[in-house]
Amino acid sequence: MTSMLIAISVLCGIGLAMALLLAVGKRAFAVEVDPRFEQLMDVIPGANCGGCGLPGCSGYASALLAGTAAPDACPPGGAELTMEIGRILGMEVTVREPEVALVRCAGGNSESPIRARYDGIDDCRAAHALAGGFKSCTHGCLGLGSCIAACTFNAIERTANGLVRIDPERCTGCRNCIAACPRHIIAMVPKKEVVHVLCINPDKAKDVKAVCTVGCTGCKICGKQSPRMVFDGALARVSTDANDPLDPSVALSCPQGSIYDAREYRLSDWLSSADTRKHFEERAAAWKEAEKARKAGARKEKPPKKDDDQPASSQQEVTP
Amino acid sequence: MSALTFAGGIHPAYHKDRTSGLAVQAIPAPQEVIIPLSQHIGAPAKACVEPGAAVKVGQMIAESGGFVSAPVHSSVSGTMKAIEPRPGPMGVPVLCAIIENDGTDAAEDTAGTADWKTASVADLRQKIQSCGVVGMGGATFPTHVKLSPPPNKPIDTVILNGAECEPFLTADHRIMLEHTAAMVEGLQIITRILDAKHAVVGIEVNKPDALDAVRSACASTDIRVVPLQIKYPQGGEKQLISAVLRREVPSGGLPMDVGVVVQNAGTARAVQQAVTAGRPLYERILTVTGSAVPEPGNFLVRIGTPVATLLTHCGVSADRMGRLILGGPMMGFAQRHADVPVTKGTSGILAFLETESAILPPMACIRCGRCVRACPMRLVPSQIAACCDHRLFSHARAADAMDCMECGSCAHECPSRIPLVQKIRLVKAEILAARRKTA
Amino acid sequence: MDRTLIISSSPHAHSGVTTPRIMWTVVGALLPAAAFSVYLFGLAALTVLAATVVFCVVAEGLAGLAFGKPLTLKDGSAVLTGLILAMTLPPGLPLWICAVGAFAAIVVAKSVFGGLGQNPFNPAMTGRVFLLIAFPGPMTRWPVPSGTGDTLFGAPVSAIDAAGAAVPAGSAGVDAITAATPLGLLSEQGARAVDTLSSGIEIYLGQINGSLGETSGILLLVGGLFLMARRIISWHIPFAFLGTMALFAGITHAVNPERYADIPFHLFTGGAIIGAFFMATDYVTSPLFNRGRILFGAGCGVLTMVIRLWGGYPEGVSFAVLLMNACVPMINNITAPKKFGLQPSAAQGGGHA
Repeated sequence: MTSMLIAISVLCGIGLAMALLLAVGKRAFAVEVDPRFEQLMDVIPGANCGGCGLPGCSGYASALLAGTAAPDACPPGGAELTMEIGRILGMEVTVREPEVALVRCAGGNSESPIRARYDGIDDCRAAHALAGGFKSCTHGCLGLGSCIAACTFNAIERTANGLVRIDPERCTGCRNCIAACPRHIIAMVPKKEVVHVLCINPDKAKDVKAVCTVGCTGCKICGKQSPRMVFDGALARVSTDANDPLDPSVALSCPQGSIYDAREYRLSDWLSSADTRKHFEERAAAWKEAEKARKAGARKEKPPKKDDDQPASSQQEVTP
Repeated sequence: MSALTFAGGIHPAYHKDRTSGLAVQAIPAPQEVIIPLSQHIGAPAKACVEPGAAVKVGQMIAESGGFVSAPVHSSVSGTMKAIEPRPGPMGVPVLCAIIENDGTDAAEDTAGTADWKTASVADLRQKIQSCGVVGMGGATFPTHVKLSPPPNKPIDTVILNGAECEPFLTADHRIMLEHTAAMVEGLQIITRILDAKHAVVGIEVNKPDALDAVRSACASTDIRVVPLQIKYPQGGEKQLISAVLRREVPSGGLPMDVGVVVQNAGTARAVQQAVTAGRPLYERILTVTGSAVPEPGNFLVRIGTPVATLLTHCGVSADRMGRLILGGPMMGFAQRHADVPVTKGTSGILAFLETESAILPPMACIRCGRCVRACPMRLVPSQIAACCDHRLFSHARAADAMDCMECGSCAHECPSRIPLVQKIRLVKAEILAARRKTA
Repeated sequence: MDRTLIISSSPHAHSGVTTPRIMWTVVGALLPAAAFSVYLFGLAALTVLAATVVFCVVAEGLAGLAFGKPLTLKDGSAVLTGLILAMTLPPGLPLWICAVGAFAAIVVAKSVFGGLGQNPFNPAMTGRVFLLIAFPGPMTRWPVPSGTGDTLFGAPVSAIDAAGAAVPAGSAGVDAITAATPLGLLSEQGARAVDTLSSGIEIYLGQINGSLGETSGILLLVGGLFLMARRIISWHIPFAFLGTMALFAGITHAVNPERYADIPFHLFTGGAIIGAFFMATDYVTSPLFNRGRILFGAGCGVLTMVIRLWGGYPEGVSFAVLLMNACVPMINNITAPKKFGLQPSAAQGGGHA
């Protein structure tokens, strides 16, 4: 009985002594932590995606406190987080327009056929380094999914047609996929933007047509429909300078069908559904008919302007 | 003397018998040559002839783009048609000069150095540089750079690489047999430029006729000819030095760090031609062989000749061909079509039958250690590949990947057919990208 | 050109030695010994062999489905695991126990770790040890080989009686009695009970009782040397393993011949040969580097002898191999070769300043 009591009291004594030591230690060696650090960590998403360019979310929080990171640098957090950070740090913030990543290639296996049988690892960078990849187009999406592996938010999936698609709802804009793509196909676009040119092949029209049926040839017809369509050499792009919504005719006017309009089709259908393509082509043909009729009507009133003919002639030029 | 070798390495099937006995045959210049302006490691050459201009054989069409660079010369006489991007041997389009052949072979006047034994070393280097000589074993490093070691790295030994350890290839073998004197003179020129005390020729013992020929050509000189064991990659610079001199080039270092310069047999011949005749490097000897080639051979080919022309010459039927490789089977580059030109670094063209080109999916690594025993750099390829799979590019094992020279021994031996070299390349690319980012 | 070419990374040549070929070669090297066990024990051995292999293949298939991995039955690894496991089991073992062993070997030891190449422990050894611990009775009931009668190599019958195993088996249709293995005798009685054994030829031929693969040392040795000649296995592990055992046995026998048996007895009884050539050499669970392999083999040898001479079990090969399996990552770390260019070379600096 006595030995039991001794044992119990010794243990309790040790426990007490240790607790005391801990309590003293906590006071003596306390590290000053900015209370705002914890507050920031509570609101930052915690995905550690690296989208801010800093090592992890705690790195971002520290950088915010040190004043070396911008309050709108966290893409997954978005505008809400920027506001929160502004509130915590007590500073004026400007909310950044949310952006999502977009794979700018619609040339699947049926549009840009496979020109070599690839025998190697499932990695776009490895395949790209090998004789420029197995696809006809040396700029197009290889679809092996290096971006999928890089995405921490499961926002990217393969399509049935040998491409990849980024779900704009899941994409947080962290940009990890952009670095993973050896062909630099992925770019950030404003989330609210609905019209996109899905091609990055900068080659001449003849060379583009030789490798892909939906590649942008730089014919500049879309430029006639909207001033927001701008051109980098032989490649069309939707400029982000202005805000006006693009007319659906921009997409319909493209003879190659390189322009995707999110108001009309789901991206997954656009990339891999033959029916969707057919539907689009019928609409485009109808639009062109209507346009021709409209022009014919206009011609009756006044002689045709010279640049109206230009698209047609340039189109003929590029047809092999 | 017993044959020397290095540690590690493999014994692939060599398949050299089909072409090793065939004398080099000159291929007529094609109607049109496609000459890439960057056929070497380093800065691309800058075109110096306008499209439309007439050019002669041996005329410089692109000048050196820097110190680590080499000029490019026309291989035919005729008209420069265009300078435009064309598919290069690495798959990506490269800037090429397209020259239409007028068939006259009018040559640019060239003059050699009368007596290289008395000429100044700077003149000799200048000659080699202006003739566009690069390493012809496949690496295409500009030769004049290799012959200009910094003063704090004195060179005591020049090794002439006659190992030709790549299976199938026999071009260097034929050079050693048919151009023995030129090659040996080239070696002497290189030795003089580097002021090296020793010159050694290393030849694998599977080329006894070449050994005899080079031995007798070197009889009156103080060049040492050493037989090497038949083993791949005996012709790797570091392995060759290890075999011949028992010196290990430090990790991340160059042969000059141990006082050695290694030159390929074909390069020595090109040096001799450049110095004694002032003849630019506009043609090379290469081997065309493989199971899909009915009439294989060793050929003297103008730089810029389309591979398709050579394949037709050798009777290759395109629809029976499954794989087309520029270079040797161990380190060569697979092509997706034959519309690529022969360059200064093309040591061979291999075409394999569709029937033996099956794609076999890789299996799980069983940790058998064959890659470890095969690796001449004493790395652990399976672990570097695992780092690739798990994206651990900064892992210590992955860091060793930078020492990999991509000889392919590991993947050749891997029973699970894991594309180890491809994975290691990816790791290397990632490490380099990370270094650039932090730099 | 209509047809497309294949593009792949260099090298474009391959040795032709593939994983399935390696696996099937090892299976082939084991077959003579397996056939001999069937000759010795008849149907009792055949059923155990066939059933274990089939169970292992089925387990591999089911595990593949369950874990969503592609089926890898053709690579022969499951067949090999089954065969090696069967070789460590006593003839006439109830088939349901074989099934449990196959499950332990394939699913518990291999698939849950990620399948072929990922398992830290030798699957067959794990299966055997699992059974040995779970079913000690059936796993140590050794039928006497047919034809040797009930005088066991001239060993006194009293020894067998003392081992407490002279019970008619009757199971699996074997007309035989069960008895202790030579190692069991040694463990119970000391070397005096078995010293007549190593002077007889039976022990080398395999005319002894024990598990299927414990029997024919000569045929296993032939199979092992065949694998070595085909460069499937290297000499390092088997030689280090058996050499260490021999050294250990030689010293202990010299010190006390009354208590400890001699070298041939130790090498040719129990699972020493099959363990050294077929189990310890399993690629996945043995070290990568040759230096490490010697260390690994020596460790196996020492542990086996320690268990045999002073442990609670008469045989220790499977425990030894499993224990050394656990050391493999550490062995790999300490025996990794220095990469090329990190060693100061002898002749360096000789020729230049």
